[in-house]
Parts: sequence; C-alpha cells; structure tokens
Amino acid sequence: MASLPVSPLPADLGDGVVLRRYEMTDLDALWSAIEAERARLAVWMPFLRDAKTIEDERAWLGSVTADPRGLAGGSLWRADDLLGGVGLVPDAFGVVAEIGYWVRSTEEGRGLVTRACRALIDIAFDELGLHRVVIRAGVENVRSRAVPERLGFTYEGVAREEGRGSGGFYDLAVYGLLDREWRP
Amino acid sequence: MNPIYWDLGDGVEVRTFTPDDAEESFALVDANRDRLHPWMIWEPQTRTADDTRAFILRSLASETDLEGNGIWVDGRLAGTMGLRIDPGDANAEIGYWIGGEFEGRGIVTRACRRFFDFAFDELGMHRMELCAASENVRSRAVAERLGMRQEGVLRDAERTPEGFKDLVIFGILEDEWRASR
Repeated sequence: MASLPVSPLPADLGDGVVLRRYEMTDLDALWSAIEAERARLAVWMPFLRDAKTIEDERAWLGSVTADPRGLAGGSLWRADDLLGGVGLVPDAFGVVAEIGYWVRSTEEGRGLVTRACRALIDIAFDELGLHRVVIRAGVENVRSRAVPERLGFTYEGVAREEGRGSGGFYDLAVYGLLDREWRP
Repeated sequence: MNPIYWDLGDGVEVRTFTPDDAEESFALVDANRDRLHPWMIWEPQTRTADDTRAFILRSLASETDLEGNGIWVDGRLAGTMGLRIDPGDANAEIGYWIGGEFEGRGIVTRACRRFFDFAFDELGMHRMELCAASENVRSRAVAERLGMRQEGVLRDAERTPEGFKDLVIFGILEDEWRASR
C-alpha cells in the first residue's frame, strides 16, 4: 500500500487551480470570502455560526494550521484567489474520516470540489491508511449531494435533522466509501 | 461536563466514574471479555486497571462529552454508559454495555431513558443518536424499545477486534421523545 502513488499537497487540480493547506497569512482572503458568501453558505454550513468576526477565523486558522500534516484546512486557489474550502477530518481511531466542503458561487459547476475530494480521498486511503470516508450533505442540497454520487460513494441513509443551518435543523444524507471500493 | 448522579429506583443508580472506580470497572471488563470482544476495539487494549483509570481521567477532562459513567445494581457495578455531545448541532450519541449477569432486565433501556430526559431537558439537545453493530441484536433492541427510528446502515464504520462491522444508525428527535413519554 505504501508504494502506491499519493497526491501530496499542494495538489494541482488542473485549470490553474491548486488544493493546498491554509496558512495564517490567508486570513484576509478567507474572511473576505466568508463575508461575500455568508448568506448563501449559512443555509448549510454550521461553521458560519462560529465565524462572527475575523478573530473567530483567526482562531480557526490557528487550529487547522497547528498540525502541519493536518488536512482539515484544505483550500482551493487560483493564484491568490480563494475559491473554496475542502477539508478532511479523521476520527481518533484511524478508521473513518469525513470530508466537508464549500465553494464560491462563481466557481460552482466546474467540478473543482469533486477533484479536490479525489485528491483527499487518495491521501486518506493511501497515505493515512484509513478504511472509510464519509460525506454528509443536506438532503435538499442537490449540488452538494452530487459530489459523493459522482465519486461512487454509497448512499447509506438519512440522519434526520442532524444538520443545523441558518434556516434551522435539516436532514443529512450520509454517503460512505470504503478503501476497497476506491482502488478495487 | 459536570458529573451526574441519578437514583433510578429498584436499586439501580447511574453516576459518573471517578478514578476510584477504576478497579471495579476494570474487573467488570475482565469478567466480560468474551462478550465485549466481538464489538469493542478497546477490549483487548484494556489490560490493567490503569488503562481503565486513563479512560476515566480522559472522560473527566472532556469539556463537552460525558463518556465515563457507571450503572450500579444493588451496589454492584453492572455496566457503563456515556454520551458524546455535539453542542453546535445539538446532537448527542449514546453508548453502553452491560455485564452478562445483568442482561435481560431492561436496565440499559431504563438508564437510556434517563439519559434522554437529561439530554433533551437539561442539555438542550435536538436529536439523540445510537449506533449498534448490525449483528448485535440485543443492542439494536434497546434502540427499538426506546422508540428510535432506524435511519441507515453505515458500512464498515466500526473497527472491532474481529474486523470491520456495519453500524445501524438510529435517531430520535426532541418532539418525538416528548410525545413518547
């Protein structure tokens, strides 16, 4: 397994887009993107509740950059433009990781999130040796659900009202992918 | 998270473990290894009372979770229960196991009811979740008795000493719980 090629970060996603880890110097770019997309993203994204000021984001960036090998703070860039966030968070047992993502409205529909997920899934299975990757998406969030569906995840159920956004609680569709399914 | 102490009646008590409970808790694990082995990855990793003490200390140090609690029946430790709490989404997961000689008396179900009251009334949770290995019929029966709804099957989501196992996910919402009691 260790001999398989992996996709280290930064990963070139094509079309001039790179997936790399956030750095503390990205704070202003991140805050601008959040401010611009807040209303649209807050419907689904719980993290926006905790991102009330730029200081909240500074603290979050500090937490995801603390571990230089961590993948929670993955981000999409075209030159100096922040296009979105795609992060992978492993559990404490080294078995399961969850991927979460958002993308600027202007970048929707290009497959950037799907490509970034592919790079992170490669790392999860080949480098971290994880067994299972989970994506949860709002049942009514069609674009978000299309990502795991395109990547061959299996739809496993609905965690009722497990999500919480600006419009209240919402149902989350749960998708799972196993290592043996990714590289049969 | 602050420790709990509940008297459920009929000699059943639930309270948060302290380090002084490590010996008794380890003894219960040691007496139930065959029962735990198919399901619990921590069973073979729990070799001495010090391992149990470390779990209790980790649990006491958590600001959000309430994982290390014991169920006592007539003064004897019978099982362990805990909550993992996601305050932001107002969602909590319950977990449990009980010693073989205490099984089949509805003790876990009763204790779960008290935990659900606590989670909804005192912690302000919106949803409670329970995951049981799909082969673990007795554990699934607890969720069903509690009126939880089966929501899906998470494939290979649990690593156990006997390999990866599917987890059935059950959920119940605050209004469903209030309507059922």
